Amino acid sequence: MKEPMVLIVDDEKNIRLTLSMALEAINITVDTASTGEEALEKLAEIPFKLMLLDLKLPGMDGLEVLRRVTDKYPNLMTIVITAYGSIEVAVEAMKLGAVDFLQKPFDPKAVRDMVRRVLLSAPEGRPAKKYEYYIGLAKQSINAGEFEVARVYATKAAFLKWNRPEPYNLIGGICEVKGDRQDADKNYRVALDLDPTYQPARKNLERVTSRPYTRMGIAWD
Amino acid sequence: MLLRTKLLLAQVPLALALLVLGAIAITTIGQLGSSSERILKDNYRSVLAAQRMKEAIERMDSAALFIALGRRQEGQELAWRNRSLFEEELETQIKNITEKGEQEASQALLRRWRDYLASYERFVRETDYQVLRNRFFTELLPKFLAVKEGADQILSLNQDAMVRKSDEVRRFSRRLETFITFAAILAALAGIIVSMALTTMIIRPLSVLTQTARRIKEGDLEVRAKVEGSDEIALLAQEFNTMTDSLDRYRKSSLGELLQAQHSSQAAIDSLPDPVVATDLEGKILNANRTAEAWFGPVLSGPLGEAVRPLEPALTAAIKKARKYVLAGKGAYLPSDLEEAVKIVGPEGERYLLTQAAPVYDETGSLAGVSVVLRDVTLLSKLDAMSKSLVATFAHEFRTPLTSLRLAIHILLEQLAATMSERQLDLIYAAREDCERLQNLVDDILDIVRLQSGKLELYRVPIRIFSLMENICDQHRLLAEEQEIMISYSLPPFDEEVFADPERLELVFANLIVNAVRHTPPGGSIEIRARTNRESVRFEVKDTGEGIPEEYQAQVFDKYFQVPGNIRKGTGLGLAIAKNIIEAHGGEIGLESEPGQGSTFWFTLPKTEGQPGG
Repeated sequence: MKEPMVLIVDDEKNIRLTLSMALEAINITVDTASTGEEALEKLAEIPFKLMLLDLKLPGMDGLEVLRRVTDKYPNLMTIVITAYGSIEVAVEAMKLGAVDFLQKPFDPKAVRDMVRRVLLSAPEGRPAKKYEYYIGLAKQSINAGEFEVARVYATKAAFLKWNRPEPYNLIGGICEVKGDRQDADKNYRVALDLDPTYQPARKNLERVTSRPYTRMGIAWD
Repeated sequence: MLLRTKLLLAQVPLALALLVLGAIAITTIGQLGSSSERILKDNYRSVLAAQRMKEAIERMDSAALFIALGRRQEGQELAWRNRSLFEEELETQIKNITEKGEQEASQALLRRWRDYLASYERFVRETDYQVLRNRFFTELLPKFLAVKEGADQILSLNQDAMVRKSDEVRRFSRRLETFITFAAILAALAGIIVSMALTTMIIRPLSVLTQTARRIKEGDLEVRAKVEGSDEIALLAQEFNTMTDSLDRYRKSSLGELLQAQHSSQAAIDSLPDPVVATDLEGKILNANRTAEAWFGPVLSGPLGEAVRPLEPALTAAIKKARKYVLAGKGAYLPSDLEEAVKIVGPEGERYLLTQAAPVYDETGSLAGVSVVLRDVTLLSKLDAMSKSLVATFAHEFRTPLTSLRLAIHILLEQLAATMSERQLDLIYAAREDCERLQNLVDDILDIVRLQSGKLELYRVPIRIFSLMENICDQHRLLAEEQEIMISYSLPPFDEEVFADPERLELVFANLIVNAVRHTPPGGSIEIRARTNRESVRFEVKDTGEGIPEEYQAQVFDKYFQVPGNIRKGTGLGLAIAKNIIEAHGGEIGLESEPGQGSTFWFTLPKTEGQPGG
């Protein structure tokens, strides 16, 4: 049998089973682990390209696993699986090196689309490309009205290229949409500090600090 | 006695005073006249007599001279005439003695007259002219002078008396003048005072009546007007008292009933375990039950929130909100949602109070006040919180098994669809369908838990109406057409924007449309409409379904509510979620429906962010 490409780490037997079958159906080979320790053992033996990691695990939790593997296996990409509504953990995971996140519940199509996209996004690609990739994902999510998801991607982008103004401008916009004017103001200022000529952030800052204030017309790019 | 008579009698003293004064004046003036008359009668006659006597004696003297000169005949005639004249006057004088000393003077004159007459007789008998002349000068002339002097004496005596008496009369009349003046003033004063006193006495019953009426006006129906007599005022007072009697009787009877009613209603509200406070339109406390006083201290008639023990700000805000709702004329404020309950820390620990308010109308049917009930829903709230967290936990725990279940069914369908019999396929489709339903239920529950715990974060952006409605319609067209229902939309004249969270807004539309599809028979139609106002946009989802009976219309937005008698089609959460979302946007949601005529669900959204979630 061909060497498996994807490792599924989940304490739920049925999730492991169904996820495996969903991926195997599109000819992606998988292996599974039910705990963090087991996952680390398997990672030490086999060079997986992708790990689907549930963050909620008994014993060593998902974030800890992620912390241990990121530097050790630079070619391994990780998609974390989070429970509904736990965006903050997702952000943390992305900072720790996860490439994407999957919110429960999901259907086979969502899993397959994401796995395909991640595998095709050329793991060997340069960081600059990855950065554009996340900015793109963030903007897609904003257009779809999924601001929380967008924030995760924007944060990831900012993490990858700390000196670019775009992610902060996007985060600022998301803060504004959420009604948090102060954080928005802060993020726009960071964006402008990084690049004083960046027009969208300048426009947004002007609007945020103007009276009367209106949330209408956020400049995303 | 009639009032007219009395008033007339009251004028009598004044008239009497005038009469007395007149009588005095007449008498005194009469006196004055009679005294002048007396002067005339007493003295004037004496003066006249004295003068006539003087004249007569002088003629006698002339007559004597005539005789002495030899004209005896003429002289004796003249003397004869004057002699009787003198004696007549002397007689008159002697009869008219009025003054002191007059008697003596008259007697002296009489004596002198007789003396003169005796000398005259002797003189006349003399025939010798020489002797005659001698006798005239030596005897007759001195006696003539003596008589004349005597008459003069009487004259002057009476003239003096006249002067004195006229002086007296003048003085008397001057005194009389003063006296009459004083008497007039006195009489006038006395008359006025007595008349006034009498009039006051007559009028006094009127002021008694007035005072009684005033006291009755102030509410003292025990008072009666005490007026004696039989005049018109007394009659009026009698009638007045009769009227007061019946008024008193009426008030006592209605007051009794009123008190009874008030007591029983007070007892009723006192027996309520929840605080009840009645306020007027301005928020002043009119009445409170025992529980309210036990909770907030003795309630004074002050503005709500300024009770002896100040209310907690959250409670004050809730009361204000409830009152505002009622004062806006929207009817009773009866929130059924326990989320509205306010937590306060009372003497018995934490309590949850749900503020309800009901309008109080006056007899004309206009709003007169607001009665506020603070329902103690502590137990219910705790149960509700428990059940909510239980539901949330369950819903959460459902996700993992559901995820694998869905994946399993999908994969099975993918891999085995070709090899399965039709009945096997039906079975697995049924499994998939129920899996989706379960999934929706879990999603809805978690949604509503999040919405109601206030954790709902809105991501609001301007959304253009035209494209929104087009998208919404497209998204649900398939679903509607599967049920043979026409779905269409009609746009407002101008493409405007609403300020809303797009994801949540889609959810609201989805819930309303799915609901409409469920309750509309095949062949029906669903129309989505929008109408713009100055500040908001009103969206409507109109169906041609079975409609909702009026008695259930108020409850359709409640959690887990389903119109009884219908087959359970949804989770009963969709409309509750929609309501939560719309209200978080500062909009309103409602419906118009008639059974058999279809339903129109509508909601409004602000165009700008002017209204944050409330």
